[in-house]
Amino acid sequence: MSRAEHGYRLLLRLLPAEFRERFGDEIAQCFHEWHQEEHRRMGMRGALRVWRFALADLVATAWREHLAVHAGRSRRADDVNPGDSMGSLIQDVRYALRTLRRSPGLVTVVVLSLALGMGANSLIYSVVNGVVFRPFRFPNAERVVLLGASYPKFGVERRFIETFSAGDYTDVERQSRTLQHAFAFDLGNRNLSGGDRPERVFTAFVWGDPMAATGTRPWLGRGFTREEWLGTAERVALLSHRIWLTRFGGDSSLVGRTIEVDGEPVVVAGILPPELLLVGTDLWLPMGANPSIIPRDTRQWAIGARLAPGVPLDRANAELATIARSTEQAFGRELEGYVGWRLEAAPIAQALTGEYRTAATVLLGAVGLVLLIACANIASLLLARAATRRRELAVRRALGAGRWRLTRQLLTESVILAWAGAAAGLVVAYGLIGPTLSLFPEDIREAGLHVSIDGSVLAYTFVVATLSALIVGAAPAFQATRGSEAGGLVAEGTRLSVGAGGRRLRQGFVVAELALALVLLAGAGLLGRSVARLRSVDPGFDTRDVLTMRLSLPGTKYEREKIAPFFEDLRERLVAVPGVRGVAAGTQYPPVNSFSTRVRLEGDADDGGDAIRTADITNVTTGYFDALGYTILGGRDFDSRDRETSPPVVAINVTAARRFFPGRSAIGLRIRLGEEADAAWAEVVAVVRDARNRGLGVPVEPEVFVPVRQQRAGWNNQLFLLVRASGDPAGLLPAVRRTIAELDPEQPVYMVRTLDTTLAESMSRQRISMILLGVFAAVAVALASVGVYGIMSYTVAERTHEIGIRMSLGAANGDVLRMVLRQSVVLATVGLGLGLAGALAVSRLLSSLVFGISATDPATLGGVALLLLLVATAAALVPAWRASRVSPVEAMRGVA
Amino acid sequence: MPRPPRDPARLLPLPSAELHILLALLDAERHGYAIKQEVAERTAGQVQLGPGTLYGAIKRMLASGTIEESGRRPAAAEDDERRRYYRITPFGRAVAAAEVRRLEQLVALARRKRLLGRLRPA
Repeated sequence: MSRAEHGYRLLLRLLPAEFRERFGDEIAQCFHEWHQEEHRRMGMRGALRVWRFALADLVATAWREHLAVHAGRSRRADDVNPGDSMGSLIQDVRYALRTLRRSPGLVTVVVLSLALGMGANSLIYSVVNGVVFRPFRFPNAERVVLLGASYPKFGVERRFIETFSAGDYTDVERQSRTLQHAFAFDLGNRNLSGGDRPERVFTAFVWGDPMAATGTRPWLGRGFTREEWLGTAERVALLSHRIWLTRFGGDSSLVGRTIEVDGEPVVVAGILPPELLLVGTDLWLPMGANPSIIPRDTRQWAIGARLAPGVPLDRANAELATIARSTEQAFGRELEGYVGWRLEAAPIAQALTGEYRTAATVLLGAVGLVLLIACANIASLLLARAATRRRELAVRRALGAGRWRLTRQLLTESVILAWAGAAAGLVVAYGLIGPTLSLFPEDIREAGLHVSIDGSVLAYTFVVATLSALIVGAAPAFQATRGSEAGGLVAEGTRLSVGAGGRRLRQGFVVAELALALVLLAGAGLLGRSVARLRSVDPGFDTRDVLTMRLSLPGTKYEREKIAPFFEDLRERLVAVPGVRGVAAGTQYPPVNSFSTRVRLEGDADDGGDAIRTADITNVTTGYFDALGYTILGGRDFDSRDRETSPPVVAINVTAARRFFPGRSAIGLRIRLGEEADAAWAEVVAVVRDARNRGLGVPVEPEVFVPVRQQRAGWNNQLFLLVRASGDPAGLLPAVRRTIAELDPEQPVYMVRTLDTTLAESMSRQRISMILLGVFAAVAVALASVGVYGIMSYTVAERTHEIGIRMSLGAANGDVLRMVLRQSVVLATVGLGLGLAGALAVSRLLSSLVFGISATDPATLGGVALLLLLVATAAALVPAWRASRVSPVEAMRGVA
Repeated sequence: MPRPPRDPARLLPLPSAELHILLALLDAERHGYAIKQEVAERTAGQVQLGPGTLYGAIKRMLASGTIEESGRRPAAAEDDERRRYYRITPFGRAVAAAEVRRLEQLVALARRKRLLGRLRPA
């Protein structure tokens, strides 16, 4: 049974039993076929449409059929059989609906606050579920693992992508008994033609069978064969389901046809299933080479596999540790990277979106708190209402209704309220999914995540709603049905009071609300200050008005020595374009460097140290420092003297100069890059200012810059073009494209962004958490202040009589005002005290998200506590003022 | 199971979902989803019956005797055990015809009142 059908089946319980037993299977079947067809035709959008329609249809049907059942019963017998629980349930529902209809104001307030609380929950649950917990929809995704490696010699800590050599893959594939269907993939981009226009697509180069590992089957056609991935058969490709739909119109005759990849003919062997988007790749090509011919120090693959049946993760990890040790023994002497290296497997979701896991937990907790606050508010409202209904309930008890029956009656009301709130909340969540996802960086958004209001979100919302109903309904139900039958009738008379017990309970709710709101506000405050600190970090270069894009020169057209001239030529043409202030190209740019290399120094006793010296390596055209606004602190910029044939030169950043040449001037000294023993010595000609090359919140890594004309170690055909504009950088794009087309009309560009966007996205974890937590904290504070207002108004109303007496005995207006305010301050102080304790208790969760500030920062905590105290006092002002205006005469007459 | 002959007029006006279902079953026996598809197709997507609405109507129509469950099943390969097929009864045909006649009269009335403009230019 599909997940969707499963979810839908759960909802069928809304239907009357008789109807469900007869038609439930058929209804589910009908839904299933409909869902499948729309999903096939229109993908996620179709499926969502079906859900929206089916939900409305189901609710309407449930309503109609229950009424029909009831009408049928009333016709059959005038009285409902008291033992018939279905009948009495319907009675409860009808009674509840009638009662609620009489207080539209209350219903509106309750449903709206629940809609906020539930909406936040459904929204965050669906986003977190789609991005972090279950981003992959293949069967048993938690048993699909990626391998991570740590290389202490390189200072690399548990990396998953572009981490392993071909030999590592062969080792795991041959030796592991705990892992099955091991596969390896390298990532790249290819030009895809055949279709309407050439396009650059994210590509995986594969050894092994990821479909077998993920337990999926091709949507059409077949997967790769062993001969294909070893490169001994004709060239084939697999396409993702989404690109097959968008680019080839879902044409099933595509399988077996030839398309062009980087200008070469390739046969489409199959279409991947929609749920399998390996880190967002749209094109799969077999690696096409035997792993045994690839050197052990070329580490550019990721390795995945499925845990063998019955094998727990830690057993697989124990075996991987053994494999790592034997590799170390075999190769550690000649390849130092293997010394002390560690190998471990992690579930694929954790490996790929693990960095968002803490943020996700924090946000789920936060929305839970918001909902609790909403519930406390509503419970407090219902409690007050229960007091006014004591008489009604007492009459019903006197007439023979059991206590359980009355409790059920009241709970029915709160369940109806909660479900109505949940329904409204789902609408809120549905509307906000898009805007929320747009906060995430592009690579996360385009990795083919499945974020929607699906069966599991519905089930979650349903459970949360029912739980809230119980929380909200329990106290009033208990309160209202307590005591003897006669008590309610006689003692209560006309007085509208829940007595001391009820008031204390309501005060308890307000204290809890304030405490929870403080926890949220503290979190939002800490993250807000962290983001502010991150923003104020000096990136070390000028991020404004720079347009960036990537170009990959196909190897079939541009041999190695043609790459540098292409970019230098392009640079000269672009400099002449009006509005361009600076142009350069480089293999990477801050704050997101990813290439690094080994560095050896002249005169070093070779490699005595614990760690190998490494530095980020960036191949650059002339003008790179100028275009990005680096300051050259000593030496000279690269220029036309630095040619292919001239002596090799490099520039280094300050961190590299300090680390490699402490206490000396680096200019004129020589270093060697890469692993090869005979690499040429290059002279340091410049030291440039540090730029945050690994992210704003992360210490600067040593960095070496090499003129692109002299690139030797790690030569590269993919360069970023960096264009500094004198105005809006996006406006330059057409002119830049035209200039590129003049040089090579078939050359696509991709990853077009601005430097400012890239910088902002490097803070996305903190930024997303800050924005969402901020919104939730605001909602929480609003709800809590409504709570304070409610309890104070209620208290004032209840104490009118007493206030009247006080005033007739000479108390001034100001005294009464102060008295009421003092009471709210006492409540607030208790709440805030508890809240501070709570905030300290959860500070550990936040510590990985905050930057430049302690998660228990006293100024922040004190500040938000003060803010909340002010809000609480403000909320009490109106009731306090009203109390001070009480006329003693009226008060004493009215309530007597 | 023959029912005592009844007066089709007693079921009028027929809820529109029921009329659509009867029309969908005029030319073939169908299972639930096929009825839904047929209705959507014949009305160019204008009328979409949700599963609940569909089976609510089927329940009432079984009770009123305008349709009945068909014993026949198609070949096992394309059949699903959960599927049941429905067909229109002679009484159902009479009800559908009566409903359409009623609608016809309504349309005629509307035309006489020039709601839709004249059939021929004056």
